[in-house]
Amino acid sequence: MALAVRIRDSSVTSNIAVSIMRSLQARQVRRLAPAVCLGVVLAGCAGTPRITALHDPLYRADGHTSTITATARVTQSSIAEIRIEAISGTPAWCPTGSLVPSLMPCRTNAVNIVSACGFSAGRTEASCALNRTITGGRMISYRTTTRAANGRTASTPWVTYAAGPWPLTEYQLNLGIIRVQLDIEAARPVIWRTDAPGPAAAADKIDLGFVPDADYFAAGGGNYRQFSDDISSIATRTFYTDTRPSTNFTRTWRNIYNLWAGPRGADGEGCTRNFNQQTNAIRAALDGVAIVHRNAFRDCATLTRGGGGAGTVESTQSNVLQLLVHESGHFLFGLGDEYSGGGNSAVSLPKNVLGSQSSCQSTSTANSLPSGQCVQIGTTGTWRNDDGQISMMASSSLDSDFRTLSLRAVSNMVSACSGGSCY
Amino acid sequence: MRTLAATLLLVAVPVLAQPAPDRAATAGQPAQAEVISEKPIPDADDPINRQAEADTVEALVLLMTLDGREARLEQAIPARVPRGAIQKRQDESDRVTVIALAGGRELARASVPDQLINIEEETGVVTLQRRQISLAVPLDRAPDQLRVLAPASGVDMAVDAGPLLAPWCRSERPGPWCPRRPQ
Repeated sequence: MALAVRIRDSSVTSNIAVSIMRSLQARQVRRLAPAVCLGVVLAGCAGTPRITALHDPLYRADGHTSTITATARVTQSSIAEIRIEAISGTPAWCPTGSLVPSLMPCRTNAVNIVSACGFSAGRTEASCALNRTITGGRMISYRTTTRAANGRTASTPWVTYAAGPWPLTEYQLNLGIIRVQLDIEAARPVIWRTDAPGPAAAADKIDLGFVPDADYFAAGGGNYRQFSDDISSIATRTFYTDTRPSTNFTRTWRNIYNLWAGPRGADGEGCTRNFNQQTNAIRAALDGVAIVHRNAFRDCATLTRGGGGAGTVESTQSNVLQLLVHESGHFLFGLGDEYSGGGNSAVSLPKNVLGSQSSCQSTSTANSLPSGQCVQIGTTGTWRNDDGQISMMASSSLDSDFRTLSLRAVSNMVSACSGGSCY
Repeated sequence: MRTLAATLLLVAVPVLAQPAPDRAATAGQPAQAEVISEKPIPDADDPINRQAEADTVEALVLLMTLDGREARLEQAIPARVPRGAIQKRQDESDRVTVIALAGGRELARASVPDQLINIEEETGVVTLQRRQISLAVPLDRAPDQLRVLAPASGVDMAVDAGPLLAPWCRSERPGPWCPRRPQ
């Protein structure tokens, strides 16, 4: 009952869920069934605690205090303990002894820190924080566990993040008596979901990177610290704390995203993008990269479904969260603009912008949407399915969200990720 | 079946989606954790390092610039990349494909979206003549040629792989993608 109420209270979550269930193949339903049934038991039973955890700041590129905070809740019992386990070490090239660098980082000289907060009886909600002073470059993994007074437990999966100055900014190639310095960097994890090592794990996430535009380093433009503060704020709100509709999708499905930061070396202006060797190499390891900029120009993105797609996002805009979701709609999901005067072309699955009324109607029908909702986008000759709500790809409003065919497309991606390969 | 799907629907969202921690953050001041133990971890036992070993593969990372009908290979760097970064999947978008060949036989291929088509807000579709492409071709044997295909621009280019890999193959421990040295 509690679950049904929760879904009813969130029409958006319900919309996404319906869309995803439609996109799940029978095979995937069968695969998910045991986990879902287990979820019924775990999530549906009063007395089972729930726990969330997040580090703050998400990313800061110089010295600071990094705080991992876990919050637990329970009904019909009380929180007895919250445990935070952290592994902290120095970022390193990997694997040890390999001839070639890795675009993903490893770690050396790590220490496993186990910490805990105990709580007196009667606390149905409790928080516990672990502070770490960051001086040099660190890479920290953490997971949290709570135990209720009734003995039941809950945990969060491992998350890994970088903190402080990043040391992996060049690679020394050892050729015997000669050492060659390579201008190549490993990506800096902001939120790296490292809970499930294994061959399939690397493909079941959308790897989204952020790199600073050249204007962060121009006079009056800030610096890398400013960039890291900006993306920390943007990512925290987009994936965790915002409450507006434009972040419904990213907050609901944050677990399918890994977030990364890259070095300076990118420059975007309109649709012209330049990447230096370091930033371009990192793109090969990521599904998409947002060039974060501060100066004003019309944002532009590749029309791609992952594969190192890229776009620009203006961090100083008041609707920057919507901008990020909208632009990544282009370069991660292949969605087209649904407004007149925008880029009315799509490569998403399904396409959210169609070339004719009939193709809009057949695509709508195939995706269980009313074909009568197909409308022409202005007088462009392109068509979309419009349910009358504010669509993410048709508006710059913070009240916009993925709707109709664009919702089907992003939901299909979630389904593909749950099947082991997002792309 | 519909009943099963409806039941799954009702529970899938709360299970797959995390509860929002924003409300959790309002639960008053958090208690400070007391450190119970601190133990060093050997590098080989660090779960991150084990994951990197399991989840990455050796590949040749190619940084290219496509400009009109011309393609220029800017850099080729052997590197370990996530398995998920080796893109093969096709969709309706234009693609750039690189095929690693040895003696005319295909060893491996990778394909990423061409970035020809862009969307500029309040402007529309913008076709870029010049765009930078990066992709990773998995390597476990030595290629002698790389073929670069970008049909949307009419690019069909062959590159001699030997000189690209030569600096890396001078090491005392050459990678499996280096030509075998005469005994």
